[in-house]
Amino acid sequence: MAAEREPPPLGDAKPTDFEELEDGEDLFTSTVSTLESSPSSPEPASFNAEDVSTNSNGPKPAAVVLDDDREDLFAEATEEVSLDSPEREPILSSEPSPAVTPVTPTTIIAPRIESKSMSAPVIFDRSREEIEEEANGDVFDIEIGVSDPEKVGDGMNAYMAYRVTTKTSLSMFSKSEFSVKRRFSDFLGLHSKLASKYLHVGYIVPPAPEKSIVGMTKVKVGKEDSSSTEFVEKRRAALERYLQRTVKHPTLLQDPDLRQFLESSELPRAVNTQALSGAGILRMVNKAADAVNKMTIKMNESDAWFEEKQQQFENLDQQLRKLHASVEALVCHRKELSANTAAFAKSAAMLGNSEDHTALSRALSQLAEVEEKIDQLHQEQAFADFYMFSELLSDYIRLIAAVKGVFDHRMKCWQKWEDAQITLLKKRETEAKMMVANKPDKIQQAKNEIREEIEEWEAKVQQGERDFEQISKTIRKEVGRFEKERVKDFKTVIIKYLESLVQTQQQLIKYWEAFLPEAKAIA
Amino acid sequence: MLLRRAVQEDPESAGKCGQGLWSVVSETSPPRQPSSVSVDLQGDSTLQVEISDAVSERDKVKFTVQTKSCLPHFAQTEFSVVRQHEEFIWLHDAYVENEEYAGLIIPPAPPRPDFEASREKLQKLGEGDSSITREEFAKMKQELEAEYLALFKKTVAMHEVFLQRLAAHPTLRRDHNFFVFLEYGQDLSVRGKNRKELLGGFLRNIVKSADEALITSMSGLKEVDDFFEHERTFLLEYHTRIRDACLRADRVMHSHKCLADDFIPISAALNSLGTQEVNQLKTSFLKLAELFERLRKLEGRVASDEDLKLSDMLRYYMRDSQAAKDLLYRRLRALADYENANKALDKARTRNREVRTAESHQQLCCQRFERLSDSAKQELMDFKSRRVSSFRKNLIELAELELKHAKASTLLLRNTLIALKGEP
Repeated sequence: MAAEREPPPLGDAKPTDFEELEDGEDLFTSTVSTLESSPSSPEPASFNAEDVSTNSNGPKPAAVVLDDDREDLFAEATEEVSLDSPEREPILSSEPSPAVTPVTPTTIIAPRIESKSMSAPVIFDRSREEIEEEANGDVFDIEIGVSDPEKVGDGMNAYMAYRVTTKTSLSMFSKSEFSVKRRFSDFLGLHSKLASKYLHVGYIVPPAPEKSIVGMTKVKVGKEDSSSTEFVEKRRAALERYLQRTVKHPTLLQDPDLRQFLESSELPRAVNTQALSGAGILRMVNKAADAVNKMTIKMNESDAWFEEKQQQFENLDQQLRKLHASVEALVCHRKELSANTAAFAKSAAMLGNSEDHTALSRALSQLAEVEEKIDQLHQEQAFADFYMFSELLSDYIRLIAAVKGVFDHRMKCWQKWEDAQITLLKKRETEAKMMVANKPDKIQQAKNEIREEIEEWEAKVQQGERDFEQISKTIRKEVGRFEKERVKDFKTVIIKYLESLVQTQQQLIKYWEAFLPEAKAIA
Repeated sequence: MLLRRAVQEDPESAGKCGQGLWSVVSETSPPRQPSSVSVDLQGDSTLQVEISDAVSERDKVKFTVQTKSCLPHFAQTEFSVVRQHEEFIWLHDAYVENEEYAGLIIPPAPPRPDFEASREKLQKLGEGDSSITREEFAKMKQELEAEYLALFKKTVAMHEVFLQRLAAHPTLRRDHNFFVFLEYGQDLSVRGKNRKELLGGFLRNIVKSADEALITSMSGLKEVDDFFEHERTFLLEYHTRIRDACLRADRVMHSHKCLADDFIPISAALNSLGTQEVNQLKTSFLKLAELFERLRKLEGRVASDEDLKLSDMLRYYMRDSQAAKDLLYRRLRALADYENANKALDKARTRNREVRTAESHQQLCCQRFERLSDSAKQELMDFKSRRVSSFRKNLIELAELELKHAKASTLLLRNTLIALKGEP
């Protein structure tokens, strides 16, 4: 049954169309409940709506939940969709089967190729078994590693190339293990593409690591010191986390641009990512314009959930920034401690050398050795402080900026809808005036024109409303998924970080226990 | 020995620091922890000196010096006087300038009590930074007050050790000035050195080192005793290196303190995060906040223990080794005088004029030199054994304390991990 059903074209469907599909609801109702208990990561975004509705305070009609399931299947777009085009191509990826039991029919829907703006239709044709495999096991069986930074080229044209290794059992990839070489601007290019496709419809696209002119210049110039190696390592780790977050997103994982990034050996150079390029400047201008617009949009929020969530994210942002600043101070001081301990170790060794009492001299030398080892310990702990704790916080600060961006897009969407409504009203008024005035000769033509315009704007208003509802639904799901991920992320990292602290303390115990008999041996 | 110390602040300065930041804290400390430099007073009941009380006022500290003695010299067996830092310095200088004690290591003078830095920090805190929460403010204030108190305890300990070493030394304890210091009820009317005197002292030091350099380069001045030759080279190098080690130990301690202080805003931010969260992270954040608060206290204790057991010890022996160096200088001076007297005698004999005076002068110099050498030898050997036992004690205590704190931290961290892993 599922296979033959044709997806309604999203473009000009009226809200009532969705009622027809209610019979498909059953497919999902049962599975919704069974999925509650399944592991968090592999869920298709649709099921999070269930979670979200229970968590949020905003009223959410049950019917909407089920509509979501349907709509999600159509939400995949592989083409650049501009804000203006009301058409969104229903390129369908087959979602992993929502049910754990193999009996539930899978949702294989042949993609409908719209002639309009599609250039590269991608057909995801997956067999039932594959989907079940993935549904039963760890669906996100994909591991990304970024490693082996190496400098390519010389002078100011030099750049670092990173090896991106993918290990996966997902069938959408041609191999199960492969690696490619990518440079930083490639990552930025990937993000830029994903952002332009998905951000404005409400998906939280993980932000790419930040550019650093100072850092890169040092590397280019060829400074082989610890600060540039640290910079490269910091960037490598950030790129790895970026990719890992991106592939965890079920929608983004299906994106062909992402696949191309991971798989193809040659990638067209992304030139628009440079800060001072034409595109870069345009981006900055747009950002400024957006900021101004945001301030002037006064939205009538009908759904308290959004207001609440926005406030929540605002608070979270503030607190995370504070915490991040404090953790950065911690990292700095721990590094200082390490340096000072090393210096002390040296002077203790010297003192031990001068000491003419043999046993004391030996004990002092031992003390120097202990302090040297402790200095190493402090350094390692500082790394842990930074890479686990500090970077997690800075990642989330930028992620929350992306979340805020998505909320802003919703506002813009609303604004568009509002504007369409206002324009429609004006047109109707004009029509009404025409009706009242009595000039039969000119009127017919003008009347027809205005009639046409009115119909056009009516359609726009409906589209605007649909878009707005769509983005609202998507955001709800996305936020639910995001929060789940956030909880998992933080918990994992906190545990890892605490374990690193335990490690340090245990080493300290070992060192001092070894030293104690030496001190006691001083006679 | 029970010590009672009260930390009080002038009401005037309380106003300056605003909002009564200074509270009257009266403290009965537990049986005193032996200081980093211990003076063995066991079995010596003839003269016991301690600082039983101390009061910190705006720009000075008043020490109550209590003496217990059965020596016939004193009017009572138990008595107290109040002394200030300048009077300790006066006593020290009196010893140094006394020719009789030229052959002894004079215990180094206690450092001047300096609470400026601590006070400034507390004042800055009082002036207020609106971005910190009330809890953070309270914690930081607590930290600074603890720091102030620790500094105060240290200065009391330094002054006390100085007196106790004098009391323990068979020769130095019989000094008349010492008795006056201990017993005289009134103010000794010793004012602090004015600028001219300070400059004079500074110049004297320069002269001394120049003199020393001159003496050592004097031809014909041969060190006859291997022991002293060795001691000289040893002390010169040792003093420089211990000074270095002391400075660097101070920096390590300071870093530890900064680290501990960093935990305050971290804990506060985690607390805020925890209270805001509505999901499972709530308990995680709150537990983490509590963890950091406890870690802060532990880290603070590590810092203060390192300070006491390592930094302070190094600092004391830096000063003591300087005092030993001074002794060596005095002996060398005596040797030079002796050599000169020899030369003068030879000259007198050849000219056959004032031979008697030259002879007696030479005799005196010889006696003086030999007396100094003998006592110096003893003193230096005592210095070594004192040093070794002090280092031993402190290094053992340091290691034990570090272990204690590391074990406590591990336990704390493990418990938190169990709690965090346990929840869904």
